[in-house]
Amino acid sequence: MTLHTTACPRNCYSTCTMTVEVEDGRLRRVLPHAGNRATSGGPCLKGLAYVERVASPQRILHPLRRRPDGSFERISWDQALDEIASRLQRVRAEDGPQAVLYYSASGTKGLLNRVGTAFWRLYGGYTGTYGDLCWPAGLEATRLTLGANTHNAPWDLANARLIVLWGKNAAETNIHQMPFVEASLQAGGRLVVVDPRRTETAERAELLVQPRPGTDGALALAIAHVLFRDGLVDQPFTDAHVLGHEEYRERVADLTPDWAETITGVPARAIERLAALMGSVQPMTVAAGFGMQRYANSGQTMRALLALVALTGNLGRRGAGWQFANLQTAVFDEVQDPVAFYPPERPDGVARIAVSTARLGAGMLALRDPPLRMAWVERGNPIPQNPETPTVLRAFRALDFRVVVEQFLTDTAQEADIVLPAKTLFEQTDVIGAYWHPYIQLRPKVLEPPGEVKPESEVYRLLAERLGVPAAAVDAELPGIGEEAVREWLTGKLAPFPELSLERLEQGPVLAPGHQEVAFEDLRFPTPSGKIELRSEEAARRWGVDALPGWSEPVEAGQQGGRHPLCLMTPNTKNRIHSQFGNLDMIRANDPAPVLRLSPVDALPRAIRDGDRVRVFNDRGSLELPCTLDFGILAGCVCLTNGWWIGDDGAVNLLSAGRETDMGHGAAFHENRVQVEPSRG
Amino acid sequence: MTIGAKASSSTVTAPPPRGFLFDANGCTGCAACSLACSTENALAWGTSWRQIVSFNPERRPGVPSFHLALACNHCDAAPCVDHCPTGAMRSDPVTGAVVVDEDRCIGCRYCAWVCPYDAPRFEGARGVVTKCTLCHPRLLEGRAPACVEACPTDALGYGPLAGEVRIPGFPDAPARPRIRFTPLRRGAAPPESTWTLPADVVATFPPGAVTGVAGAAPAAAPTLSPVTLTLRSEWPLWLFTSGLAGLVGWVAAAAWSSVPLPLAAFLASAAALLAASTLHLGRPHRAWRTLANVRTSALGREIAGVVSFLGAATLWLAWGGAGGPTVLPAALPPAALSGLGGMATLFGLLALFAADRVYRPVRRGRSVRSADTLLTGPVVAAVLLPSPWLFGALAGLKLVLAARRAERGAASGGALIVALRAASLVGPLALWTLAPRAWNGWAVLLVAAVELAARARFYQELVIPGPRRTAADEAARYPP
Repeated sequence: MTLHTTACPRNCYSTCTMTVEVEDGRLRRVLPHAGNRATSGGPCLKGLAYVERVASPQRILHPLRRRPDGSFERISWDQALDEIASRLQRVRAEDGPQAVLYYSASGTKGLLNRVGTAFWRLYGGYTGTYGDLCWPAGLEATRLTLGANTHNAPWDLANARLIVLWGKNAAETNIHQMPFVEASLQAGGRLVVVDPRRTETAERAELLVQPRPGTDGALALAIAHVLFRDGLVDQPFTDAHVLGHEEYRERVADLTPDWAETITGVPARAIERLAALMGSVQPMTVAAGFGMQRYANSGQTMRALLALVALTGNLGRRGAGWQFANLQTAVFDEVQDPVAFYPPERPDGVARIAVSTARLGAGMLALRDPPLRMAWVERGNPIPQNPETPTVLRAFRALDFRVVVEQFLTDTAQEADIVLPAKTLFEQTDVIGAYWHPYIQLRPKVLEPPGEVKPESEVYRLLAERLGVPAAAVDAELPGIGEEAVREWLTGKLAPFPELSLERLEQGPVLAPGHQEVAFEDLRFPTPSGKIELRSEEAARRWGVDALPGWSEPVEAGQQGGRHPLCLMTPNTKNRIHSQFGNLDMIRANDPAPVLRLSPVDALPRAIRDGDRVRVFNDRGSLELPCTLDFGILAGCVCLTNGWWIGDDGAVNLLSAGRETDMGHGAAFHENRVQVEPSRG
Repeated sequence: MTIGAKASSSTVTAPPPRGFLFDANGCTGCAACSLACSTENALAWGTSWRQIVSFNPERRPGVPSFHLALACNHCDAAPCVDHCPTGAMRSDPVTGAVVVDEDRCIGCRYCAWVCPYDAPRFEGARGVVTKCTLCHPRLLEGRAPACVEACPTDALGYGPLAGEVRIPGFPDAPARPRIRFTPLRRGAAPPESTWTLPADVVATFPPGAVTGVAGAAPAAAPTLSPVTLTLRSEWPLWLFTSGLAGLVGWVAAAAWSSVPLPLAAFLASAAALLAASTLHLGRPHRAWRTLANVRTSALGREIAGVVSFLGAATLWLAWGGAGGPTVLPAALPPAALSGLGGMATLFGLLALFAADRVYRPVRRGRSVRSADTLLTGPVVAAVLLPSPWLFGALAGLKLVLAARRAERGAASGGALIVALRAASLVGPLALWTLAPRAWNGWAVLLVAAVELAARARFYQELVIPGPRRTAADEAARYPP
């Protein structure tokens, strides 16, 4: 039995440090690790479920080829690689390398992920995507306002006297934040939650503000109105550090709580109360979630939220600030998110970054010169997870050939011509960052890959050989075969940072070089003006939005309003990371099947009872599933957690639209109007 | 404490008992404790000895919504230990952990019936009960239980007991569970919300109409979910208790009067009964162990009663009781023989009394039920004798009991049972009046059919109490 320090590389705030126990070459236990101040309580149920995930009989252990009837047969690596290589050569010869789509998503963090684009450049080029499903609008709003996505350390939240969790259900999506919320509350701190649902997190709050989805910006504008009106703005702070606050005062002069009540549905007196709290309780931290910024208007919404933090002087101090995504560990990136998401202004002729992630299906189908013929997918399950699943499915089916690298037969893998077995985090060493806490971590190889699983870095090497790429070029870009070569490659990546080395990381998590425990403590902001920019010329120039924060009605409200009156909320759950983990028995025991939650107010006129099967539909698609009544969800909203596979009858993107956010090339797929009726079946 | 040490002024006190410490403010219902339990104990994926019980999952306005993370509470007065008929359930003298000795367990599940917290789980594949062990091997190494170590929010702890003994949703029981609670802050007030459901809409959906957890039945068949009681699962007991009442009635009638009872018929019935009684066991071949704990186990006392009854009645019949030939060498004086017959009847009634006591933990309300075997045995005797007056009195009492229960709305399908009981009172009496010769056969059939039906209903209405039910009940009438 051996114990190892490792870290969970899922697309999740917490990025937990874990101690794992290996016994007879098998993962026996997953245990807490005290070395990470943010996650010392121990991993969540998903981390604990790795014991099943790595050893699941559902895991793909060999290359598979799809038969004409849709089933899969086991083939050898040589067969798989020969077929892929010959396809690649033919496509390159006939249409050029850009007829291949390289699609990678957020399935696993790690520096080695970069070998993907490196390989496709060696191949001669590829078509890639720009934008991101997750968080660009919020990242861009934060970058435009503060200059960088840098926040106080997670544990500093315990110092806050007012915490506003705005659209964030941390109890499910960032459980390790809850002990810091709890510490603040125990010390007399106060908690307000803004969410159309009465979430697990809201249960701890003294006040739950439930706006209509997509109207948070209007709520924030009205709060700013009250702050100015009642003299609650921190005048010395704004005079010294905030650009555009005078214009903003004029912008919100008429945007009263009464105005916001008509838009948000939140009573004006509740808006007054929240504004009074925000304007008087110091220090305040506003932690904004990701779901809210997946609306077409959400970049401007996030800027309006940021304005409240700025106007009350809650930056550069302990217990204060804005928490969205703390990118202090992104030290390895030459260009950081969100700027890295944007298509290059001058394409290099090799990588054609031409498909918006938010409109993946339509974007793939629209490409010409050359049209797409082949796709390679890794670390992602785009068919059910990207907006407008029916179109994404059509786009993948329109291709000649698809390769998917996966651990399980996901909806996307089921569409592949060849499926290559993917490693788990325990089967190849890598180095990962995080986006909530500031630690860089090592994820060492602790298990031999089962079956014939090969890490992508080796697969690419074997393919490069078959494609005749000169060995010197391969060696320059890709790590060699085997653990030692990978460590050497990683050592090279760590070389610029004297604080970081594999040896040091083996001891446990290491704070990112240049880490600031209190962000912007010197009150210098890396914006063009050096101040917090409520007025951003770049916002106007780059995105065509108003230079000041503002609010506009969500697109779907107008387009779908009449026939599809209900807002379908598709939040993440504690039980899955997007479409990962839901196939495991350990998770199914807690969350066996998709369920639509709806308000009794909406159930009554539709003659829907608790437990009935219902049909959820709009012009894009429909789903049939059981429902349960939820007395806490805002009337007019229905809720279905995302990440169910198509076969589960709960894949929410069958209903969503491929649409970008107003800034950042994010996906506005949480803006999703539907109708619900009793199932006829 | 050192023997012979000089008495000091400070009194030596035992360390305070240790147990689980649960902070309802910290628990988010994340289920990490449950998974850690599963992994630590190498249970099947998706099964666990620890469960999350949610209070108000449907989020009724004005009622807090929170979770309890519960496993075995290793009670100081553990009913599972008291009532285990084989002594398989024991309390570890060092750690106080209540643990199952799987080699002694017969899989009768009576521990699960009497546990207020759903802690004992039945592992169908192996036929034994398993449960939380308090990770006592870890405790002996100075480590916390795996669930406690894994709690990401430190809501679950283990240490010297301090805090509230109860929290809404936690079953109140005299078992002295070793768990203490930190209650919800703000007097358990739910968040003040800017939007509330109109009161008339809330009233449209009374508690119980909404689960908040549709589709909650796990897709993968769990092997360790809380034990439930249904007629489908307990049909051998339905046959056993009904048959026992019938046989006691037959023996009583034979001992009282000249109703024939051939030894062979009795032995065949007794064998069938004993076989039926073992059919619901996970390990029938270990059924003989049930006599190990007659002192504190209601089930053990029932088995002891049944064995005494069958033994006494066999001896009585073998010596020529009920007018049969003696098969034993030495004859018994008539007075001793009839005394033995009376003793067999008495043991039979005691067995029925003990059998009814077994069901006390799983039936709601403690009042006498018309389907209780202690009433059924004499009814059978009365119909066999035949004694219309005794029959009328007993069957009439059963009808009154059934009618009272139906009137209070305590029984589902109560009206049907009342109708059946009325028929089984009036029918035999009418037969007795109109066709005395036909009385016995038809009356016996009618009474047997009604009693079996009523007893089946009795089993359908049994419920093992547990925290899920307590949480649902208390959330429905919140504030307490």
